Amino acid sequence: MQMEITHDMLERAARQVVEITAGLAVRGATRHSRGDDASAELVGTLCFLGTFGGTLVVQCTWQRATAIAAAMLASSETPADDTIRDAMGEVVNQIGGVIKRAVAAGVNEMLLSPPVVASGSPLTHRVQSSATPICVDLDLDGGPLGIRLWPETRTFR
Amino acid sequence: MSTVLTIDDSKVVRTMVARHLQPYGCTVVEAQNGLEGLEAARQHHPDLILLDVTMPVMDGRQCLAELRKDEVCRTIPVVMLTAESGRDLVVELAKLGVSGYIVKPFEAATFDKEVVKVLGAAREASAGPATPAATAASAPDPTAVLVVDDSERVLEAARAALTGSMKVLTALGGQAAIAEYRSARPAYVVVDLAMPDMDGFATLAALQPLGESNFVALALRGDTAAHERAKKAGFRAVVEKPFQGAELLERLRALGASSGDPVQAHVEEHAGCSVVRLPEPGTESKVAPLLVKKLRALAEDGTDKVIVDLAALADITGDQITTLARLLETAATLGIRTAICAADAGIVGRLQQVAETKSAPCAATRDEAASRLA
Repeated sequence: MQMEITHDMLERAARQVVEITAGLAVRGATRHSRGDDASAELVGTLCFLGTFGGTLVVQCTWQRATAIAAAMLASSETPADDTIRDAMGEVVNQIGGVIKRAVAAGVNEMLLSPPVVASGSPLTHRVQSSATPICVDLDLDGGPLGIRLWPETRTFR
Repeated sequence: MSTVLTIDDSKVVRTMVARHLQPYGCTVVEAQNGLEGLEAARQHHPDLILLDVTMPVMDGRQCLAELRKDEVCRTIPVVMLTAESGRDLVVELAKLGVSGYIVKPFEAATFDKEVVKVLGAAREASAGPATPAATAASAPDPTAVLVVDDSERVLEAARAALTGSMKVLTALGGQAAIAEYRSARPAYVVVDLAMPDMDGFATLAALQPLGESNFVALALRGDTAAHERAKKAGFRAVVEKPFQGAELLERLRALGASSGDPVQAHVEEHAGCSVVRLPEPGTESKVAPLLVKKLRALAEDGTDKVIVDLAALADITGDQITTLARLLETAATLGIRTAICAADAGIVGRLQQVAETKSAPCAATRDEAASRLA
């Protein structure tokens, strides 16, 4: 059985998490394959392990991350820095979970690593992979949320 | 006042959960990993534990295993709240014993449904020897059905089909249904999906938090998209319009509508086979042991063929799969041959993924299942 990761799958997963968990409206999305593009201020990463492997990266500005965290908490107050990183980790984790369900459904087991979140201003990150990344930028009020996936293999049996 | 323990390494998630629990007036206790969760469970004896899987120090799998070994905590209901949902994990957790599974990201309605299922039972248990009035107020009436449609003609057809077998209440539209439901608390609610102003989905969302009833959707014939939406929203079954009266009654019977005996409602005969239906979600702990006992009685009476009928299910829960596996295992030890009747492709697919159920012959109708056992 072959299962290909697509931009459509990645965008659906990201939209689902942003719209349900954070309650934010996604105004649009841009799809591309430029994985090592602009630097970000907050980067969340997790790995897929198993028959399908890969690296998932979610990135955005600190301001964007702050707004997402506040939305998840349904709070008008600015969350603490640790809370913002926590929220980003949860977003990465949930996007990873949705992708895992789509990819691994009824076929093979797949593991998610715990998410790792790094912050700095600005950060430049790079994933060592020969694969072409699948990239989606969600257009949210106040700035984009970038989602990148580097698959280790695009098909599995 | 109920106590809920939320175990998750994310403070953001714990805060979101506490917010979702506010309407229930619960005391919320938090723990950031499985080890802290175990200690908190022993200290606070919560009515419900919401448990994540991926956590440092002690993950949710190990925490659940330890809870089930603990003399004090083993019976505390646990609902998993996690982004992880691999089939092996789900089966493993189901075997350890979970009362529900909420996958992140989760809608508020899904969260509410799982929580009400457990906290509602906890409230009834903690009330002690209930007065008949208190019991009547809290438990749905298993002999009553509320039919909700914007067409008087459909309501009349439903009355004609069901009166005599059940107490039939009707409501012209979703808004009227709320008042009718509150006064009668029927165990079964049949809802037209396509109604103006307040459609079937909005009606379901309004009624579900009010009590533990079985919801059946009325959908247009051939509208597969509506069928899928209904299943995902939480309807237990879908009946197509226009419906035959006998069909509607049969679907409600399949949900255990017409009998007070918790076991008899799940067992009947068909084409020389005994047919067993699984307990409704949330009743497994009470009904499943009785079904196992019933299998033994059937074996003693000479029954050697049993069909487990899943045709009325819109979805199958982890607990129901565990019950099914237990029934199949018991039947095998008693020398009873079994077949599964399931038409839903999603359910069939899930059964194929579980070691204990994938080898049982599966057929789309009872007649086909009976012929497989002939």
